[in-house]
Formats: sequence, structure tokens, C-alpha cells
Amino acid sequence: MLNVDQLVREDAVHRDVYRDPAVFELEMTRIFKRTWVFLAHESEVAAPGDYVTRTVGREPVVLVRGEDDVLRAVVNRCAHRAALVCEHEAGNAKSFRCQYHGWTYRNDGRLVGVPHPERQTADVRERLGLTTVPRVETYRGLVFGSFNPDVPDLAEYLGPAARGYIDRFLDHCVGLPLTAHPQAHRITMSANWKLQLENGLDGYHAGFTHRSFFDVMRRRTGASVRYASGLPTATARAFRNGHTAIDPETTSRKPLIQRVSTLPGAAARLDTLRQRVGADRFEEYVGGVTGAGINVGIFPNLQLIGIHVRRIEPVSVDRTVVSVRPLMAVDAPPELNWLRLRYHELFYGPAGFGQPDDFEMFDRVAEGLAGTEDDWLRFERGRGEESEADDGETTLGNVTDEIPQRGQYRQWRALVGEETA
Amino acid sequence: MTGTVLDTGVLARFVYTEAELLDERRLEEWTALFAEDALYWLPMNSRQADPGDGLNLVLDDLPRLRDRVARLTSGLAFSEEPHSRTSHLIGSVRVLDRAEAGPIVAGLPVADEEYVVTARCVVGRNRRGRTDTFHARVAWILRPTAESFEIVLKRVDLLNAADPLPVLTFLI
Repeated sequence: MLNVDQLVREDAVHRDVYRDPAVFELEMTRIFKRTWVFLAHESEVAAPGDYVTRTVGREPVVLVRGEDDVLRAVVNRCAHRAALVCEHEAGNAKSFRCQYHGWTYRNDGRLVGVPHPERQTADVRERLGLTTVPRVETYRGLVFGSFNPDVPDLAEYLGPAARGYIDRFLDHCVGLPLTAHPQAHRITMSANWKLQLENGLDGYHAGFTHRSFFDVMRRRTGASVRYASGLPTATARAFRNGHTAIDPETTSRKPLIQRVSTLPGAAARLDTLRQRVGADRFEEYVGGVTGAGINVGIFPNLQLIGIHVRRIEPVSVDRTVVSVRPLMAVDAPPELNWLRLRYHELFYGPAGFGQPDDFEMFDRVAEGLAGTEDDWLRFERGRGEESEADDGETTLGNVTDEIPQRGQYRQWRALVGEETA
Repeated sequence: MTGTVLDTGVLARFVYTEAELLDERRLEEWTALFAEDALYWLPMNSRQADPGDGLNLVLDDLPRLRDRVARLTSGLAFSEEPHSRTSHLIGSVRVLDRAEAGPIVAGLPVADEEYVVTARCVVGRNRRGRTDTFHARVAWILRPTAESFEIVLKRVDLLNAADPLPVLTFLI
């Protein structure tokens, strides 16, 4: 049996945590089958019958809105001989039919059709069906599922501090409601999923990993953007249950707004936008292009960054897919959403000016982890210097401190270290 | 097709040369092939006709394309450090009439004297001990100049554009 205390210390993580298939197996059971896992934004399944296929850990599921308007997640696996019952990434269906032998399920998981039923026991349709994920709950349009029927309510799991940051993120675009774009950038990595978990809340790396991006922007705008790591007011935070945030708390969006003016086709659209919303509100709208300026992490697989929802999909101990799906403003001037997409494309996606360099670092870490001369990855920045906020659930410090990562691994140890009931 | 009827071979030779500049990493010369109003575009959906209509992998105007090249050659774009080596194989070069070109370039103005060319392309990419193969349909809008052509559009539809993709920061 693995001793998790020997794998994860308060300020260091053992290489086996990223490489050992047995650790991955435990994570799939004790994290992904036990706590809340992010599935989708509810706008992806807005109408009755709308569905998307997702994974909870390795479990293939279909998140579907029933004819009764209830969101359900069912396991995408025929009860008969295990074939997928839904092959598409998204669509609309009242029922799912397994194409192997034709078993048909209503979109709430009930088995309604078995070809040649005279050769089955009479109760087959009552006895079998698609396995239903026992809990599906939503916070501010973010839909989560859990295989654990006894998991605390989602709002309680998130806690007030993380909810506050989710609210801030989702309210970033002139107060307009946000909806998920039907397309997402999806990037593959030959490395463990936790490298993305750590990196999405890493306020230390940007000035180094992403220097080439800042150089391009400085050349184009003539302005130097001080990244969060240069701001004394910027904080890194850990909340309950492994949730985290990095928060520059900068009041000036001016440098970010200058970046918007460099986007392809921006000039004409900014003119139109200014005419449409008026000079008084123009800057606020352009600010709405660039996002909330905070990174929010909801353990284990959701991050809110830029203008996108990021979902981490572990595939195996050394394979991961990361999905970044932009959020669009509802009832917004078309120029606003056009610019939001271009701003997203600038940094993110497989060919962006920023995100690929993170993935390069994941590859390099994976190669470095092959050696055994040193077993440890160190997360000790700012340790012992943290402060506790008055809310009683927030640990915070300098934005370059590894407070979020220590928080994530405290939760990892709490879940993985404890036997599942 | 209006304007001068041109031997497909003349246009094909131009796109072969464009690919050769990429494979030989003569990136300044490559960038110089693009018109002032050019777009370099990698969509995620082959049915997308307007570059602004969806989420793209790449949508560069000329200033952004110059940024891209400057970043890739800065020594600090780590996903291309060391940089990729590529080998483009181009076949099935066709000059399309306006009706056939419509679904590919409908969102863009095509002047009477310009040509819409498509080809199928196989790109090998080697980096850090690994070689991957990418398949694509490439479409160009080419504008005649005194000496040759300039690229008004280079559109690359990867066969697997809608799948999870590895990092694609090299120029394709």
C-alpha cells in the first residue's frame, strides 16, 4: 500500500505522484469518483435533449437535459455489452441507441427498447439501464457531477471564498451574462494532469515562461505590462478543499486595453463599439474583452482564466487533454464578442503565443522526472510567511508564493490518503 | 475565373516555393510573400467561411504574422526552442473558379484579378527526437504582382483540426 505521507509533504511532492500508474489509479477512485468534478457550462446543454459527452476521471459520461428540464449525467456505456451509446461530442437526442445490438435508452437513462425481448427475462427493462451519476449540481451555470451520493452540496464544497472568486470571474464583462462558445481549444500533453493543475494557478512562472509574449506586446503597444509577479499588492490564495486563486488586484486595465488595439481587425471594430456604447462606457466595454484578470482554480479539474473555462481531462498517468472554452457575452454588441475571441486566440490554444510554452514546460518536467537522483519537486516559496484572512478559510501571500500548490496538495493528500468508504 | 487564364503550373510553382521557404526556414523571405492586407488562417472547422465566425487556431493579419515570426525566432518561444524542422509535400494543386472557391473564402473579398488555389498538403514535423505528420487542405488567394504573386490569404485546414491537438507553434 502506498504511504501518501511519503509521497506528498507540506512543501514537496515526490516524482512518483506524477509517474506511478498505481497513484493514478488511486486518484481516479479517491479524487475523481469521490468529489465534485466539473462537467460543462449549462449553456452547452440549454434546451431539453441537449447533450455533451465528457469524462469524470476515466468514466465516459453524457450530460443531458431531460424533457423535464432536469440536468442528468449518465454513464456512456451500454448495460448489455459495454459499447458507448453516444458517439458525438454534442447534440440533441430524446434517446440514445447502442448501435451494437440496438438497445435503446431514454435520455434519463431508462432502458426502453431491447430488440427481440422474448429471449430476455421479462424484467430486463426494469432491471437494467444506463448508470446515473448520483449527483449533478450547478453553481452560476457551472455544472458539476459526483459519483459520490454523500458528497456535500456543491455550494458548501466550493465555500464562500471560492464562490466569491467565481462570481468575480463570471461578472467580468460589463455585468453581461456569459455563455459557452460551442468550440473549444483542446491540447494534448504527454505528462501528468497535475502539471496543469499546478500551472494554472502559478503566479511565479509567467515572467519567465511567457517572456516572449510580453516582449511582443511591449513592441506593439510601446507599453510594458507589469505582470502580477511585479505587483506588491498581488496575492496567491488557497481556500477550503483545494480551491485556489491568484489575484493581481490591479486597478489599471489600460495596458490590457492597449493589447486589444493590436488584435487583427480591431481598429474598425473598436470604432464601431465606441459609437454603439458611447465614449463614457467605451473603456469599460474594452476592459470586458480581456477577462477578469484573475485565475481561479476549483479542485480538481476546473480553472477559470482569461475569458475561458479550462477543464483538465486525465487520460492516463502520462497523458492529459486540456480543454479551454471561451465564454461569450449574451446580448452584447457583436464587436465585443468578436474581440473576445481574437484576444483569446492571441495567447491560448495549440498555436497561441502563450499556452504552448506552458505545455513545453510540462514536457520538460516529464523528461526531468525520469531521473532518480532527486525525487522531489519543491513547493516551498513563501512557506511560513502566509497570512490568514478574516473569513477563516483563506491562506494568502505574495502572488509568486506556492500557496495555491500547497493548498491543492493538502486536498490531494486528504482525499488520496483516506480509504474510500 | 475572370482575368488572364493562367497555366496552373505557374501558380503551383509559387506555392511550392512558399513551402520551400518554410522548410528552409527562410522566414523573412516567407513573410515578405504576404500582402499588406493578408491573412494567415488556421480554422478549426473546415466549413467555416468567415474567419471571424468561429474559434480559430490562428488568425493573423500581417502585423500579427510578423509578431509570430519575431516570437518564434527570439530564442524565447520555448515550444519552438529548439525549433521544429518541417517538410511540406504539396499535391493536387487546383485553381478554383469563384463558385467552387465560395465555401472556402466566402467571408473574404476576392478581386477579379486574384486566383484561388487549393492543394492537399502532408507536413512532416521533426522536433526533439520525434517526427509527427500533419495532413491539410491549403487554400491561397494569390494576387498577381509585377514579378510574381503575393499571398492575400493562406488558409490551412488541418485534417484533425477539431480533435485535441499537440502544440502547433511551428509555421505550416
